[in-house]
Amino acid sequence: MKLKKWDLLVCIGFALVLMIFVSDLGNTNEAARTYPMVMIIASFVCIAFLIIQWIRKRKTILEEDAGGMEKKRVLYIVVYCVAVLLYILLIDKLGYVVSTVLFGIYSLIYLGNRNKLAIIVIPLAAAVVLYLMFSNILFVQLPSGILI
Amino acid sequence: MNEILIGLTTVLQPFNLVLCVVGTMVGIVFGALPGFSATMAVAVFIPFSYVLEPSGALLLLSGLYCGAVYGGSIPAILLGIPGTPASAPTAMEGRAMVRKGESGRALAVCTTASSFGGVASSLALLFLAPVLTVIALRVGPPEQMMIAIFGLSVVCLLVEGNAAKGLLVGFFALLLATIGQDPQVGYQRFTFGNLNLYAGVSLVPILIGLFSFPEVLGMLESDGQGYNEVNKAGKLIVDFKDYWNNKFCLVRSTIIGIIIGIIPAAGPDIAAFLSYNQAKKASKHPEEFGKGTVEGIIGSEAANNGVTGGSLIPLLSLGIPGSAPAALFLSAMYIHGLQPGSQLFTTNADTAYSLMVGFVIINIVMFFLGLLFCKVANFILVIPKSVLATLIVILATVGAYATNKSMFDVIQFYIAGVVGYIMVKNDYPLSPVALALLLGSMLETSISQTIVMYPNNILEMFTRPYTIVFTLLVVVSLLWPVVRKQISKKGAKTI
Repeated sequence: MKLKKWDLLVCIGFALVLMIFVSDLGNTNEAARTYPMVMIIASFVCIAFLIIQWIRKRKTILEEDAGGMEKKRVLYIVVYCVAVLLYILLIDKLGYVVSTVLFGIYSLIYLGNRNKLAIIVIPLAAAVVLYLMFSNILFVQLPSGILI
Repeated sequence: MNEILIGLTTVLQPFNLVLCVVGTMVGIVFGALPGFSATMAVAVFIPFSYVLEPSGALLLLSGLYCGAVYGGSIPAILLGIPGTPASAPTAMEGRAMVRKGESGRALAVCTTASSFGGVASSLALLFLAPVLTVIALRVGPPEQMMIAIFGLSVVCLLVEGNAAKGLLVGFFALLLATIGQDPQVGYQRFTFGNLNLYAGVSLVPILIGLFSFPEVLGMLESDGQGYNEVNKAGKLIVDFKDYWNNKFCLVRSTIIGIIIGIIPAAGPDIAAFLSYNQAKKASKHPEEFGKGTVEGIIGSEAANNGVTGGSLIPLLSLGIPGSAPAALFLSAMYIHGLQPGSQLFTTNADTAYSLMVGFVIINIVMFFLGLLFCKVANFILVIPKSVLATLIVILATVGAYATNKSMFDVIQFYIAGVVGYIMVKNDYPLSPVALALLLGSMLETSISQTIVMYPNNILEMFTRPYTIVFTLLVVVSLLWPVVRKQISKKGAKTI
């Protein structure tokens, strides 16, 4: 059984999400409850097994998995994830084209691209081409926001 | 034989040949776009088929169907974004091969395996339809239940040294699949008052998030000096040795695809995962799966295109569609005044046989068009990683939105992406999530229907021959790795 140092936290995370489902079981009609209940119980059994294994083997796990990513790199990734989330949230407000151009410029700079022409042209071209293709050819209307 | 010749003559008419080529090309593009599927491609073009003759209309739709199922594998390999859910296993192997500088080989193998699976299933449609229809008639809720259990048990327990993690992910994903309306009585479950969850979680955005976002975040893990790094765009060469060395995998995967295609409600997505996992189980080097193995791509691609012909077998003979695009075929047939069943092969023999012969030709055309498409698409890899990562996020976001034109789907894509990355970093497998979401509804429905069919003693379901066959498949599939390990241990001791 291959376990990693963060497995305990991951299992606790799964358990917390399962508790949210358990809390809503009462709002579910009795006839529709059995099958999800079986899945919840089975998931808890697996979580309990993994936690017990982790506790039993914790010394070995912590020794073998001692390395891992630097905190700086983890922060770098977390900041990028927050930026993607902001991009998604702004699509409705600013429109697909504007938010994509802004995100594209930010992302290229953040990921270390130094070509000024590429930083402007690529996001603009991608946003416009995708907007026109999806709206006019594929008939999927993307959010237009502040532009139109 | 006469009817086949009539069909061939019809297909080889210049206008019909053009429809085959155009349909396949457009299908490949549709399949390659994340958020679009074979079902959408066929649905969008049904109105365009009104003005065509019945044979032409069905050939156009066939080209779209086959092209779209294959097309999803191209972004799966090059960008890690499965264009269709059926390409998710290919995304795992394909991206690993790209990292090894073997993108050309991955694309060539994918194209050849897809064409092989498609041609074989077309020949099965042409020559074996009456025999295989018998299987379609005998598949009921108990058999569907065993197929779902077979698929899930294989994928959850196959995780190297991490069966508990595989099972946890499988059960959790089956729980996620219960969100929305209960399939039996229609009660809402776990919607938390959110209207967007009334129809359940969205599969395509979740799969796009699970398989593409971890790729992007993985690119950020390098020391930050790699912004102008590029992947090596390997040469696109069709090497016969790749297929000869994996001939059993190729044939087995194609057969799995054809049989899954015959079963109603089981489509290319399920076939791809089942076949991929069977390929891993049967492989002499299962530890190489997930690290870029040709066998994995062959297992997935031969099966997902093997479904295309198989899904038309119950459709043409019984009027029962074997997959969602096949259901749209049925509506196209009605629009053109064609009635499925024995009548189709007598009164409208020329149309029926032109469709079946056309399927063979379309899959051969798909091989050449696919290689051409791949040659052009392969140049994506010479784009610097900073640009590639940015474009993947932009494309995946619009793909997640395009499925249902809903920003809530984009949120689901994001959450699946972040959770997927955490799972990958901690060795939790992703494929059980995909398969459990695909099979969850079918499993729950078939369990309930089986209980209704056998209210006194559910074990009576084992009087059905196909239930016994599928149960034996589950047992053999689970026991085979243990048996094989014992045999190789004994062999090592003897030496």
